Amino acid sequence: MFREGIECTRRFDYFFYIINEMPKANYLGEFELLVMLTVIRLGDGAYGVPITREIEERTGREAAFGTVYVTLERLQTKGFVRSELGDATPERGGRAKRYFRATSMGLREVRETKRRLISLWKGLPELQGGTA
Amino acid sequence: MRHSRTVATWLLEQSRIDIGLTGDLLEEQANGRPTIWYWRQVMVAVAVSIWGDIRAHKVVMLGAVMTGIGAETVLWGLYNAFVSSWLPLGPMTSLVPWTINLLIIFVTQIATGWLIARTHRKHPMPALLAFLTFSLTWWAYQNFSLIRGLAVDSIDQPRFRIYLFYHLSNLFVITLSLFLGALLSGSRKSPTVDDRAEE
Repeated sequence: MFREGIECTRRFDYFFYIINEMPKANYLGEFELLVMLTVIRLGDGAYGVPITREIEERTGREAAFGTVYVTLERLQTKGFVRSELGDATPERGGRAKRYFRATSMGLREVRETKRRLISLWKGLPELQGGTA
Repeated sequence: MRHSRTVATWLLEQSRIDIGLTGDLLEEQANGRPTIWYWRQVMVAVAVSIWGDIRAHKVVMLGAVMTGIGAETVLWGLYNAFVSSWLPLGPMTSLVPWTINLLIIFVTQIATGWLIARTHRKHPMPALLAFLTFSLTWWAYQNFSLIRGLAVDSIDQPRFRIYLFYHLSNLFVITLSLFLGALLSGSRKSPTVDDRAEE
């Protein structure tokens, strides 16, 4: 009974270890991928306004600046983007622009996500044909 | 129109929002985005920022709720010990007792809001909202049957409307005073995306 108790405790420890480790997995969510691709596409000029406008144009839906910034914060925490303050203008009330740029880790993760998606896409008869 | 944009900008500045985001919204507003769009973006930015802070600092938010409960307990004790016996008697909905009641609520809730914001300088608004959510939930739990009864009775019996208005006015003053107390504490710091990423 004592050994069963120890075994049970080990299983619980392993269970909580998995739960704790899961959030650390650096998978890109749908919107995160959208934002990453937009940042990469815009290159040097990637700050809040063009990023959000590009997302709106590509998706055909209004994007909230707050949501884009929260996503960029999350990407920065994961190390996929870095940011730096740029020039301030009077139309911005004297507030500086924050430019974002993809890191090498971020580019690697985007390539890996592309590879995963393509591997999932392949060989699905329902998705064969039609426009891309 | 211009005045309402000023209010929205003020709200943005009171919240813990990145300087880049604030500048972006101002830039878009200057580029001709409509006022309704600006308000929508400001509300989303404020809500997302506060919710993010609450989720990221659950223990701190619990501390804010405990601080608020402690403050309310002390204030309630002081009220019972020194103030309640001096209050004029009369129906709660007559002018003098009602005004004094609202004044006491106003002062005590400003003090509570001030204390919560002061003791949680890094996250004043999220801390205050956490306590306000707890307070309103507790108030609703305590008074749900009463308010529901008054609301139903008020539909066809006007004499109950004054009592409903009395309770709702208390709720309004509690909410307003807590926010005012937090604003008076001056605990505001415009964080950056870097600060939030480091947290």
